[in-house]
Amino acid sequence: MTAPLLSATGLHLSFGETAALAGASVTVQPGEIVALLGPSGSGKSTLLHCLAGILRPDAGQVHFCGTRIDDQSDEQRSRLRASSFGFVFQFGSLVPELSAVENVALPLRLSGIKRKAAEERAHAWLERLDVGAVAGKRPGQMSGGQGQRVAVARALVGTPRVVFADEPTGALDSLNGDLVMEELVGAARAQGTSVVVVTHEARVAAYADREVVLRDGQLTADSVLT
Amino acid sequence: MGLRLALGGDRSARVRLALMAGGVAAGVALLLGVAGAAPAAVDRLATASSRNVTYTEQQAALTTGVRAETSVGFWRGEPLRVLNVETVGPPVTPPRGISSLPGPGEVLVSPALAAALDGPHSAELLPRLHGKLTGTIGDAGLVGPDELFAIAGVGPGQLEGDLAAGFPGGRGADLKYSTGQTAGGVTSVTAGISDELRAALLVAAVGLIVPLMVLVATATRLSAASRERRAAALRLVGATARQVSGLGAIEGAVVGALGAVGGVALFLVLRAPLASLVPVPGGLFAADIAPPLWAALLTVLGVPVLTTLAGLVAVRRAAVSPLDVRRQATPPTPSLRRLLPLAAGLLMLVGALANSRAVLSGRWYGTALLIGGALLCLAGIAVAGPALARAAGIMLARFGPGPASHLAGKRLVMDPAAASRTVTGMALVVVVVGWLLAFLPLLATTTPSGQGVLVSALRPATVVAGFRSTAEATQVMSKVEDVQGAQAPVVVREIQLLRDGATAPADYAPDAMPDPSQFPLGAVVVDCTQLSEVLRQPLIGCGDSTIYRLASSFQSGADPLPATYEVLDRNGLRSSGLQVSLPPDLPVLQVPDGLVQGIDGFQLYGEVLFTRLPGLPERPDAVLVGTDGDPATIEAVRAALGPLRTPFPPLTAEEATVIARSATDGYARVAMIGLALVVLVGGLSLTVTTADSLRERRHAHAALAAMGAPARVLRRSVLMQTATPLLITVTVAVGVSAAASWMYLRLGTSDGVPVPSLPWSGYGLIAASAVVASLLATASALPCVRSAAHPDALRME
Repeated sequence: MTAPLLSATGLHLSFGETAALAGASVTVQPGEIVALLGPSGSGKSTLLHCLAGILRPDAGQVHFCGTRIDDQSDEQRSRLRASSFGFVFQFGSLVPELSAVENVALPLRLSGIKRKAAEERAHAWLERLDVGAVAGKRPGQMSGGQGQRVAVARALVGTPRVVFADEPTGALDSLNGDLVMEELVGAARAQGTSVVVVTHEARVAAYADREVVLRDGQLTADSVLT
Repeated sequence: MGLRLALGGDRSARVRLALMAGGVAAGVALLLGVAGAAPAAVDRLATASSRNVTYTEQQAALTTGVRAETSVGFWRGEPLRVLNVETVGPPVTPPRGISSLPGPGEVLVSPALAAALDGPHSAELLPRLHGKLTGTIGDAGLVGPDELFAIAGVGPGQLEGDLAAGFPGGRGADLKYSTGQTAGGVTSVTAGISDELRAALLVAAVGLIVPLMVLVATATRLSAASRERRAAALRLVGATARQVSGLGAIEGAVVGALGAVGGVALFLVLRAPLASLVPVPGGLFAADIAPPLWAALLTVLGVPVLTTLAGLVAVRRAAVSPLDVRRQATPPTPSLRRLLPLAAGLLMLVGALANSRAVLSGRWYGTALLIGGALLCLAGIAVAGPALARAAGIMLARFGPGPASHLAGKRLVMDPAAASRTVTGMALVVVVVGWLLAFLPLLATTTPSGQGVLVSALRPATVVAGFRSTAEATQVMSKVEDVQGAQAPVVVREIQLLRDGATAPADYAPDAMPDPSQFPLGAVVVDCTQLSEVLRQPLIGCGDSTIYRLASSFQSGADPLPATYEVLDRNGLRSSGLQVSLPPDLPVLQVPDGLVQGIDGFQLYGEVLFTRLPGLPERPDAVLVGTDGDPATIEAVRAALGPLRTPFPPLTAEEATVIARSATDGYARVAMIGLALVVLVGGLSLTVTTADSLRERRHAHAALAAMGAPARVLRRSVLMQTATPLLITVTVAVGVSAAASWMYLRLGTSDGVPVPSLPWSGYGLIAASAVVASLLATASALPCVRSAAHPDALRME
């Protein structure tokens, strides 16, 4: 078995008196699509944020490519996210004042690539995900489905090792939700990117290679999907 | 429901309400302060001016009433006034602040003077009051808490003078409102108020009110985006546009009402510190800072009306197009038409310049061009703000380096109105204060000239005094000579020389126009060697001659005609009985311009100087006394010069400079205080609105942080969103201020006189202050970036 790309061991995290994670552990292999399922308040998003280096656990460890990341500084974790991770959020979280192509190009610009080169790559991704027509539009001028596909393009444009998707279809109807998941999973597999997707919908989880179920901050099931 | 929405909510909603109400309260307090301080300063300064009473022959003829004369002097650099009064006939109603006028030998003093008399230098003061202290003057009778003022009772015959200011008996003589004509130049040594300063105070008040109103409006815009989204949500669930508008209005009214009440309380607390800042000689009583009733009502009632309207405006987009708000649709782009009011204002000022005669003669269209142009310029800055901010954003997004400038530029392009709101107040302050500063040189040219120049000619701490009567002068000269630390007094006598055959001024026919060639020559009698000892530089040309031709930049240098002259007194009215012959080719004595411009009471002015004139009565018209600079020596010289019954009090050239500049210094101080206050309030407002804006946009910031955008990129972006429109708007404001100021100065300067140059260093200082304060205020909110980018925001829309 190859070494995991990403792993979390015995994570504990509390928000005040509320224990969000109570010893959760999970691994992600290179190129794997993993779905995190569970009811509301089970700790899915919190686990995702810890895996992505956005939150630091109170206890436990997170490793990426064999390097521990939970004890790194905020700046180190920011650099890691900019270079190796991509994100898709439930509500897109596109920057409202930037156009679609500028939003997609933003991760490249944050990593130092010049604007022209960044926007060329962004245009290519928008075409690939069939939203080239909205390249010059702002988020307020797009439909929900278009916005989420732009968000997927933004997550993948930097060829990340892992994409973290938090309820990416939560605000979409089933048709658009399926479209978004197909684009995300298809593009990720094409470039060998792992995906960790948080969802409470079995339909979305069906796109994954593996399902991990959380309840009360702990894993209760971890099964491979055939 | 409106009240519940406005007053209820979670902790963050209550904090927001408190901040909004606090911002409005600060604005209300300052508005009340400005509305009260300006008229208070004008009133007290006018009171100070009205104390200038000089005794007249008509007063001497009174059989009932009060004869009075003001003696003005200095004590250790502070003005000291004594109002000498003689009650004639039955007692009269006393002026404010005292229960009865003092009798002969009695003196009433102000509390500040009483404190000085209790201090270590009381020996310098007591001889100058000529009486026994019998009480103090109440606040109502004073100009300010620090005023050194006394009312001294004198006996019959002790007053003398030569202009009219009598008090008819039987009518309550209110000395505060006495109006006396003063001898020429008295106003230059008393703290009066010029029309220019009065106008400046009122312009400053109006000019400061506009930015304060902008700041109040900014305070009501806190969390505008989330309130707008809430209103849109209500509309989408079925509320009518009217209901939603009503909710917005109620919220605005609540903020305005709380702010008005808080503002009044804050004003009452701040009144005393504000009184100490107003540049009125002697200070200002806190109780004086009371805005007129109409201004107070307008502020306390008007501000809630304005905030209610602001609340209506804040939800109008949601009321009309709730879906646009939900979709965060782009607001309409501000067009270049927004620059038209500013352009129109400048054109009107150009029109005023082209019609300068109409302006100067008070024609209605001239005044309309002048005032209307100024107001349009101010309004134009505010209206043009969003267009300028958008232009700044386009340039920043296109040419700025790195993602931070791209994010900032795009933010400015999308919502330029929000950015311009925060900087418009600062820009308006730059325009108004720039105008005020530009008028300083013009003010300086209209104040009595010379006082500031004498200091450049005389050695420091040289006391200068003029005399009115022979008896007075003879009495004091020996006392002056005995003062330790003082040099021998330099005596100056003034005469006029009437050429043989010319008509004496006393004999001029009432309606005749005398031939100028017949006018007497002005001359002075002073030992030029002794005079050199009190000057910074010795006189050029002073030698063994006894007669010199005086030369300076102000005198043409034309030779006095060699002839025989009759010596007249200084006024040219009486002959001394002497005759002198002026030889041809008189040696030239070059005198410094400062001596010629002189000081009220002393000017070395004339065509001829005699080092001695045997037979002329030893009656000094002025003396110059060099001292060692010790304040005790200066006060001893003043005490030796006798009672303060001279129209031109003994003072040093430095003190005279302070007086001459008091109007312009006060004017500049008003401008700077106004700048500091508004910049402070504007800065605080900017801090709060920046922190609020970060909170409003936390979702986008959290996503950027999650993607790996370093916090420094986000902070830089926030700073640029303020800095870029600020720099462009302030630059435009300086340009507008300079252009308008130049036109005003051109209008106010006579033909052939150079237009005073614009105070570019002052403009730079003002602009830099506004920019630095704004950037510091924005930077102080940057620590909120990290908390605003917390991942919790990713869960919420």
